[in-house]
Amino acid sequence: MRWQALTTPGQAAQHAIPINFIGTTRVTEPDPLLERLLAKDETAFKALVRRHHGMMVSVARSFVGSHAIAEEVAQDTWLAVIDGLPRFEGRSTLKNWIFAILANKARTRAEREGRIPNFAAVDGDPPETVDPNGFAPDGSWAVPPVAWEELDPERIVAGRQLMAHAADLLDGLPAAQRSVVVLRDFEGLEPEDARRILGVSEANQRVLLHRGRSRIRNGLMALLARSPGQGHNARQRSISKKVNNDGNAGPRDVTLY
Amino acid sequence: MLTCREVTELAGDHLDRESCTGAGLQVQLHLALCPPCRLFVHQLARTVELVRRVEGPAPDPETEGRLLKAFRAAAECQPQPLSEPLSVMPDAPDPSPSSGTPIPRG
Repeated sequence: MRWQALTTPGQAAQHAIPINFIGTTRVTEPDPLLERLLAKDETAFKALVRRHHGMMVSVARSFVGSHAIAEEVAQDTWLAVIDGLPRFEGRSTLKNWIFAILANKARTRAEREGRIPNFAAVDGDPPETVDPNGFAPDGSWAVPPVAWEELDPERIVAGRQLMAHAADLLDGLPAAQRSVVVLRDFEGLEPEDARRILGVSEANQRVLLHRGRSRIRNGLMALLARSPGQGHNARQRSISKKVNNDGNAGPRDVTLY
Repeated sequence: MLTCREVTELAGDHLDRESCTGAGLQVQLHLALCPPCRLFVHQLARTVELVRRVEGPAPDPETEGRLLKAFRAAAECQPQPLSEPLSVMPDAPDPSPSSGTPIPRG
């Protein structure tokens, strides 16, 4: 039905899509991916869709009321991208342009649903980045952070790649935080571009970004602390190894909590 | 001088180099003297690196197939507008009465 709906005559002319959306990112060199897309390279388009589609749905979800609608918005955006590519002047990055279209469509859809996306809201989120119990009354660390071992994204932690855990933590963020973290850290958009696309103030974007990142960091911390041989156990494991290397009895894979 | 607790709240700006004066300099001064806060900022930076490398959920095969078909159709029909290639899609599902509402354009 989404496909049929798009064939409605005259709709294309009604687009408020910022075909010439200009982000703050200055495009000084030709984008090889864009050139491949303009050359009708299907492989390039498939790679583009696989890289961004899931995160587009995630960002759209911040505006609209359900995952299904967010999925529709993302698919609709891709069709607009296909339509607009020949006229895309490359004055912003491709990512900026795609997400600007997405946000436009999501905002329109939200309005139709009577929803008002609120990127200022931090309701239910504790104002502190770190659990206040982790600090002494004078503001110094009472429970200082413990060192992680090197965070290899492909490392298996609790049976899954660390990167998969990070993806889950990202997905579990409150909607507004998630959208900002996706645009800034996953997509790598400049602050001003992300701010304009989401329609969020500079101050709110900074708060949302920091809280989102901190939540993911705290989640990783909890995960690594639970995982044998990582987090706060790392030091203990190294002691255990040393004991083994010294020839003393003791299991190599001992788990110390 | 800033407290560690205050530094954790300002760490994001420090990471993004968005604060080079005033509080930013105070954060830098604090970090120079405070290993636990340096560790916190380092972990935040590693978190950002990890998020950058996360793989987003892939579209389901049906969706991907339809999008590729639309891309192909548009490529074959350009420079005509989008409505033409989509309308010739052979497997475009018929709109049901309950779901045929056109998607509003952004």
